This record gives sequence, C-alpha cells and structure tokens, in this order.
Amino acid sequence: MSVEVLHRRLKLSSLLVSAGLAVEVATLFWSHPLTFVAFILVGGTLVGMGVLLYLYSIVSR
Amino acid sequence: MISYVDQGLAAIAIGLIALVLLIGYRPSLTDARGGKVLAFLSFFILPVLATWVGTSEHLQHSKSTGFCMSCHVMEPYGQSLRIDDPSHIPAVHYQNKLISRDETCYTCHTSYTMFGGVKSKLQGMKHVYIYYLGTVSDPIELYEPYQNRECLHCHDGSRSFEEQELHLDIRGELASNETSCLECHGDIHDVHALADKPMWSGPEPGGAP
Repeated sequence: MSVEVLHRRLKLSSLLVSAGLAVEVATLFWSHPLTFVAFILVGGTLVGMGVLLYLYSIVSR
Repeated sequence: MISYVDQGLAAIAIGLIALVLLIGYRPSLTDARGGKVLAFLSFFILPVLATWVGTSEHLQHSKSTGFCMSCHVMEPYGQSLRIDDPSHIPAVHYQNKLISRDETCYTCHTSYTMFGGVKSKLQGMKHVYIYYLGTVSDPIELYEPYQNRECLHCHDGSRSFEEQELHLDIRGELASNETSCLECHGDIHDVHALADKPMWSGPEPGGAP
C-alpha cells in the first residue's frame, strides 16, 4: 500500500474518531432519555469505525 | 448542572479531538517513530478509553433522579414525592432524606441482588424503547411484584423496624415475600389523586423548575 493511501485512511480515520468523540462529549452535556443511546449508537459506532480503520491501515501497510 | 467530572472528561476529549485532527491532517507526523506511537495512542488507546469512561459516566448518570424525570411520563411520579402526607411512603423517604435525593428513584427501584444494577440498566433501555416506540401503561406497572428485599435492604436491622413487634412476628414472612411490606404500607405514588393532595414546598425531584 502506498504512503498516500495510508495517509488518506489516517485522515478518514481521524474524521471518524473525532466526530465520534464530539458526539460523546455532546451527550455528556445533554440530559435526555436518548443520551445514552446517542452516546453508544452514534458516538461509539463512529469511534469504533475510526479505530478499526486505523488498525486496518497500519496492519495492511 | 454539569459535574466537574463531566467537565474534566469533556476537556480531555476535546484535547484528544484536536490531537486526532492534527495527526489526520498532518499524517506525515507518523513517519517518525514518536509519531507512530502518538498515533497509536490517539487513534486507538485513548478513544477506546474515553468511550469506556464515558459509558461508565452515562451509566452512573442514569441513576440520577433528574435522568428519570427527563421522561415526561415520570413527572407525576416525581410530583408524588412532594405529597404532604406522612403515610405516603415515597414522599416520606424523599422529604426526610431517608434516601438520597440525587438517586431517589433508583434507590427503591433497583434490585439488591448481584446483578440487580445490570438488570436495572437493561430495563432502562427497555423503558426508552417503550417510551418512544411503544405505549406506556397508565399507571405505570412494575415488571414484577415489588420485592420486600428492596425495603429490607435498608430497614432490616434498623431501630424503627426492629421496635415494631409485628415486624418481628412476621419477619420470616417478610423475608420470603409471603407477606408484602405494601400490604400495610401501600400508599405509594398515588399519581391520580395529586390534585387533591396537599403538597410540600420543598425541592422538586431532579431539580426541575
């Protein structure tokens, strides 16, 4: 895999992880029955996808 | 009011977001060994840790009275905690601080068993599902008859409990649920008679205005 592909995947991974973390932070300041659902289903999924993409990027290099 | 723990977690997470975005937009930083280690920490270890800590914080928050009161259907049950009547059991517990006002609902409506907390959380997810996609019963019904275990968790061995001869006479029946505490102490969350009841002017459950 070329360095450019790795860098592109890192960029996408950073967007996913940071978006997930941003959702997770937002739910900490929100008192609503859906906060935990949003935290896990939206934030957790985005972070999980970002982490998996990062791990895939470094092992497939 | 956001707790200091939540504020601290948010500050750490925002710092982590900045770090992740920096590496994402300057991926050449990972060419060096130190950059690789930093990327591994900020793309894998720290986000997983943040999610785990956040989950724990959310589960802790779900015990709070304010969280329970954030569902509209719970408002009359919260109001029933302010009924000015010494025979109304939940109100007496709330008003006299016999239970924590921050975890009023959870204290009496969790199971004091090994996995009672987990069971309560799973039931909480079911509550959310029913609240948005199902039909909430009126009045709200418990999943199973109220267990004396939840009362005895605090009252067993207490002076006010032990000095009542009747309690001692039927201790075995209470322990086995043969006789329910609610048979004598049955004035619980009388939400359909709220308008006719005098109300205590103390703090609103969950801090609602």
